[in-house]
Amino acid sequence: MAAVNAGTSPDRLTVNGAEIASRLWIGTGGLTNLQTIVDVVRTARPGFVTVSMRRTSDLGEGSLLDALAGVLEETGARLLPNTAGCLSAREAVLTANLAREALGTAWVKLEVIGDERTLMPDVVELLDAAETLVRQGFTVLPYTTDDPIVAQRLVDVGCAAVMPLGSPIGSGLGIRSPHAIEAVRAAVTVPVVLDAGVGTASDAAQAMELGCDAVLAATAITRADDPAVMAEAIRLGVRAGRLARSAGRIPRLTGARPSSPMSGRVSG
Amino acid sequence: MRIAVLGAGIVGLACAAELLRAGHDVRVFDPAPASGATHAAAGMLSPAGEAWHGEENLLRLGVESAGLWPEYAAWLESASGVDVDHRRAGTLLAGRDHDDVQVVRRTLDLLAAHGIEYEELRQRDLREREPELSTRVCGGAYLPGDHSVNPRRVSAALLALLGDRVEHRNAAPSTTPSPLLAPGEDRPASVEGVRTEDGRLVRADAVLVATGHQLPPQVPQRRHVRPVRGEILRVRPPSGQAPTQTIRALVHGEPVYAVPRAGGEVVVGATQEEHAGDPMPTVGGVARLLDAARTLLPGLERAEILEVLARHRPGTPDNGPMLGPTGVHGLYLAAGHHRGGVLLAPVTARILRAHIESGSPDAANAFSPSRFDTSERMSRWTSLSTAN
Ligand SMILES: Cc1cc2nc3c(=O)[nH]c(=O)nc-3n(C[C@H](O)[C@H](O)[C@H](O)COP(=O)(O)OP(=O)(O)OC[C@H]3O[C@@H](n4cnc5c(N)ncnc54)[C@H](O)[C@@H]3O)c2cc1C
Repeated sequence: MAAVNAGTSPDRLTVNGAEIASRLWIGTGGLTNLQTIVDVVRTARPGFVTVSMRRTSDLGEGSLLDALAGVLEETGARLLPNTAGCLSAREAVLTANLAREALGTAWVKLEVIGDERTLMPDVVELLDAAETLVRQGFTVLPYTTDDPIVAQRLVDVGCAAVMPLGSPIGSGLGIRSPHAIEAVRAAVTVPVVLDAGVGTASDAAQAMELGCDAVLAATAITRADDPAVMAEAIRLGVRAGRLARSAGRIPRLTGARPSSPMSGRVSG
Repeated sequence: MRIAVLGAGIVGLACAAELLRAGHDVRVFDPAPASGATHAAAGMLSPAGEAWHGEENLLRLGVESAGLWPEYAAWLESASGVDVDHRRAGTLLAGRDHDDVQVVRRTLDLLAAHGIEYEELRQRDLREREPELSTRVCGGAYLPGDHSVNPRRVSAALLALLGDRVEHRNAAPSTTPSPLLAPGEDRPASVEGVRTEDGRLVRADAVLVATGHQLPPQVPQRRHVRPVRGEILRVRPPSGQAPTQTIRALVHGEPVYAVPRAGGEVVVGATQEEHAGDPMPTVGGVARLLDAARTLLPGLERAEILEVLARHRPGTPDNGPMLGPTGVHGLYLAAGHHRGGVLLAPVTARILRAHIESGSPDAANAFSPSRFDTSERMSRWTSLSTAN
């Protein structure tokens, strides 16, 4: 992997040829207060801010999208429409097209869930929708399970990244299966973005240590007691995990090893 | 003073009645009085139940207004002869499953930090307080200070008090440019009255804008109010199966409330969605509400559906209302009450009366409209999407 440069050139992420300014991405789901998301984006300076196009149709003055537009301009973050809440490929494709028309972007975070209770991805519909949208010229970033084979299949149909879940949406349970996330990382060459499950900064750090290229956090930030402070914490978590990954951790051993060598000591 | 009020929702009406009571010459304009958010509202006076992190000022304002309500309701009833169905039985907060109860506990911690009274209840105690609750509700709390009224009766009472001072017409503030304006500056400096839709100028010393989710173009802060759709139902359960107090619950993560009314009706609400266009109730929204409601209160299974409707709440960026001077001389604002216009009506009326009577341009309250930027600009959305 590319070394994280400590000084000169910043550690930039590239997705489908586009430079993404930050490895922390932010979701607006769980939002309770419009001013909060503006403060959060200002603090976190995320690469992307995702917004549900099925739940947000208002582009007018004072709307969520209007407020976001201002702070995106200010911070250089990009808007990423998502298809949250869609239950079939057909619905997701339609929603992505509406988003492209309304927002003028052909990038989409593709979500097709199996039901509204578990919010787990329906990978059969997801693959179908991904294939269609890629053919329609979209840059598709799918929210998927932590399954390396599904991840490969998504890349096969032309997805620009994969976004496996750490644990169910909104659960804050962190990464329940670190091995699976590592396996997804090993299975594909496109960027891997940990999506869903982040509850706090250490979860984001762990994702980066496992080799993810970026982390998306939504309710962990929007529902924190102090969202702007949590945004900063998770931003630092992402950074810390990225540095730790590039620094190369020591192996996990079963016994103690002295931290200062006992032999070769200068003595006498 | 001659005062014109635009908008006869609960906010405009409460302000108008307060100013009338103080001896001012008040006129109110609204093409369809009390037909906006006020018509849909559940009428919960629930500062504790609505408490959220980062909104401590709003919590304080809500608690202050909740404290005014008992006397306010008594005054309204005696002055108008209309019973406003003021209920002081308190509110139950309930969580259906363990996750829901954890979220409820988080609210309780916040209340504790602000010295607001509550009583945490285990499953059995909850059902003792409200036998209609499902046996499967896991836990919650009792909020003794969160009451309710029927907002339709409140607006009927206020309309009765104001009588023919309410004119069924659209109107807009009429402003005159200041003689001191620099060339190129076109911000109007003072208000001369209101212009009705039929072109009449009604002169006034002060104009109060209380038009809910859509503010007239003369208001510099107009773009800080946005529509937030809410869907809500009214049902009538079989006799004896209505809850006896307000219940606010999370049911597998879905927020829902049930508010009992005189005559055995129950209000079931409410969804919340960022949405432009007409506020229509949707199949999905209603299905989610009903699903959650009958899980919470099984007695609703055979309730008759009386009404399904949707209205726009007037949302602001920080969820707090805008109360006070606008920066245009003589033009005042009482808008953006979002989820709490019924609760906040009495305190809003007091604050606005103080501002209008003092005539001072600075609003010394946490909810001054001046906290928002009023610079003119194009829709930021258009400029961003073309730049991408
Ligand atoms: C589903 C739902 C449930 C709610 N539940 C509660 C609750 O339990 N407790 C609570 O405290 N709050 C609740 N609310 C919020 C509450 O309803 C609002 O905060 C409150 O009604 C706002 O009052 P308003 O007078 O500002 O607006 P509105 O009631 O919307 O009134 C605005 C009025 O202005 C008029 N108007 C518009 N333009 C003009 C013009 N140019 N000239 C003249 N008149 C004009 C309109 O005709 C309308 O009558 C709820 C809201 C909804 C939607």
